[in-house]
Amino acid sequence: METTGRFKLFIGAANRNRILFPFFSLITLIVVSAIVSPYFLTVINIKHLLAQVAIVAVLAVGETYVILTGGIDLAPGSLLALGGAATAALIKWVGLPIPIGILGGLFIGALAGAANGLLVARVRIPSFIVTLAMLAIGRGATLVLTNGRPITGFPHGVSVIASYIGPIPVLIIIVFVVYVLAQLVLSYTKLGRYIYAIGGNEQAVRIVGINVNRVKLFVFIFSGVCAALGGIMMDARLDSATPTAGQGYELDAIAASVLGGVSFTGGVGSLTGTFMGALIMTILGNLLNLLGVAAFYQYIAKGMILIIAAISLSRGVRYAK
Amino acid sequence: MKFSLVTGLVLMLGLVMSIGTIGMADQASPRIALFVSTINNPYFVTMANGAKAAAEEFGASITVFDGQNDASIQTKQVEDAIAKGYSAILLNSVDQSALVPVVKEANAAGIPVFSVDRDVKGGQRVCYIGTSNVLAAEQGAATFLRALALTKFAKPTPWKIVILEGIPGASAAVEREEGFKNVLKPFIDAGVIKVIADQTAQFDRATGLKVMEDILATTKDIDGLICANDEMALGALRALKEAGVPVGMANNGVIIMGFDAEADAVAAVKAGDMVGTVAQAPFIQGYWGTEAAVKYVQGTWTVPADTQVYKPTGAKFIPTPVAVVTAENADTITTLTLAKPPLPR
Repeated sequence: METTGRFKLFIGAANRNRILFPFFSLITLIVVSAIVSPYFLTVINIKHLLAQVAIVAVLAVGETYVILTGGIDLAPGSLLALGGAATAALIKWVGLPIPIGILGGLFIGALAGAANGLLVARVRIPSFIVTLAMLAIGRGATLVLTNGRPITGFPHGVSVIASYIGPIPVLIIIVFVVYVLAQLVLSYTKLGRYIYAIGGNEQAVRIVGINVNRVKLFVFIFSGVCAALGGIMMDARLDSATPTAGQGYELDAIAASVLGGVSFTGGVGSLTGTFMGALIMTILGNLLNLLGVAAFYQYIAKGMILIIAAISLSRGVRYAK
Repeated sequence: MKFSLVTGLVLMLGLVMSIGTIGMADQASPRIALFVSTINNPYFVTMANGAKAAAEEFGASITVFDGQNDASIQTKQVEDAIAKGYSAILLNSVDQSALVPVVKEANAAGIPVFSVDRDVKGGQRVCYIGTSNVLAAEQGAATFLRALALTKFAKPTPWKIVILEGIPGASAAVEREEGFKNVLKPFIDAGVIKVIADQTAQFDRATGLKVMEDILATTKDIDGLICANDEMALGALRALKEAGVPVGMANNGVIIMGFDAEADAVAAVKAGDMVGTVAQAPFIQGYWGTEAAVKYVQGTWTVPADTQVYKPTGAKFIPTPVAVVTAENADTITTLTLAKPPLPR
């Protein structure tokens, strides 16, 4: 009796956070993958998977923050490239020590994010438009900075970021730390409460006298920093910063958030869900490659499986909001 | 709301100033417009640089337009340029069919059109200056096969190879695949080589890394890797090294062939990690394109009478050099790719 009661309590809590259905989708996908491909549950594949999910997952943290406030951020893919290229340029061309270069890259991300945040919060332009513009500006700035060419070959210290401790990629450890910190902020700070509240009912929050603009500015800065962090991780993984890096990644980050149960209208969702969403996205691509599905069909397969995952998710929507 | 007003003014001012600088060109000299399919790729940056070098040398002004790999954007850019009355148009088309109508518009306006690197299938072009991707890919595949045989002769056949293709449906991807298959197919049919994976990596380095990681999870027994561009080859190389798989002829490892002779790839060839990469000549394409356009407008150059025809599109074809970069010639390749050989006349 006791156990069923607890189980019900667990299910109830999971349901309120909307992670129940992402969880089932993820488990189903993993089970199916393991059945259809003998290579899926091998150490080498899991090792690669964890490294592959890291970058999308880190972009998705920032994206989740923005979506929770009822906004959208289309810039992460471009800011990934910009942050990555800025770090690469600072280390490789200016010759700064690696930690300073990394801070510089993160700062550029924060700056671009702040521009997004100011235009959304103060000038009141819809975030879709502002970040669409930043998507273009960020990519352009990256091309100008790199002159359209990759920056290659970093000092050894950079590749440590993309190395492995046993079978565990350092990248996923970084992601884990980011997720824990970001979730703590969401769950246990006033700022976190405000983020949810703004997504729930912005007008009400304004009337209560909370500085909504400052919260919005924060989420966009945070998203910019996450994107730049993704860019630095990409630098380490490729041992180079390519100006084309991260094209279309914003869509993966948005998909990860939404598949993870974050409501598109804001106010509902959690980072646990987002991480599961990012895993679903990555496992999909991985599985199709393991099976050797031809490129043309991969697009169709990916779209179909996403719809199936979204259908299973939509069954949970009525419990929320 | 003071803030928004100031921001708005600053933005407007910036916009006006940038438009102003673009618009200020010398009216007397020929004004050439170069439309590249995308500037988001080092190859086309080099092409634009070649065009700029020629413009400076032959006293013309040049404006480069980035088509962002979008046929509708490029169409609009060409239409605007026709309206502005440029002296000549250099077109590196996003799509070989979609840009035909706008080429015809330019014809009607009496502006000569030169296609560079990628031709269109209709309308009047003075000539097509470029390389045949199919032929270039055949040369790359032949070098790849030779290196594979030289390295793996002691290993029982079939030798297992991976092919990484470009963006599905893009003309460069389609033509390079055709070139690869033309050379490889007889050997595949004869059972000498076996394609264990034939996947797209979107012409992208990070995707090349990811796809190769996924392939490595299924097998590490790979003898060769041939890629439709260097970015993918470099990403895959990183995955192979990370997984501890030996690469290069010296290590009896995976034989890797790239395409485009990007600086990073040439360095990898020198280091012995890759056996080769196909060098087309974007600099010469941009340079010759501009030189031809300027001199054609000034009446000092016209397409040589004995010029061949490019069969896929029927344009008069001025081929630019192709070379396969290998460890033997890697040191001299920059002289080839940044050279300014005389325009055929």
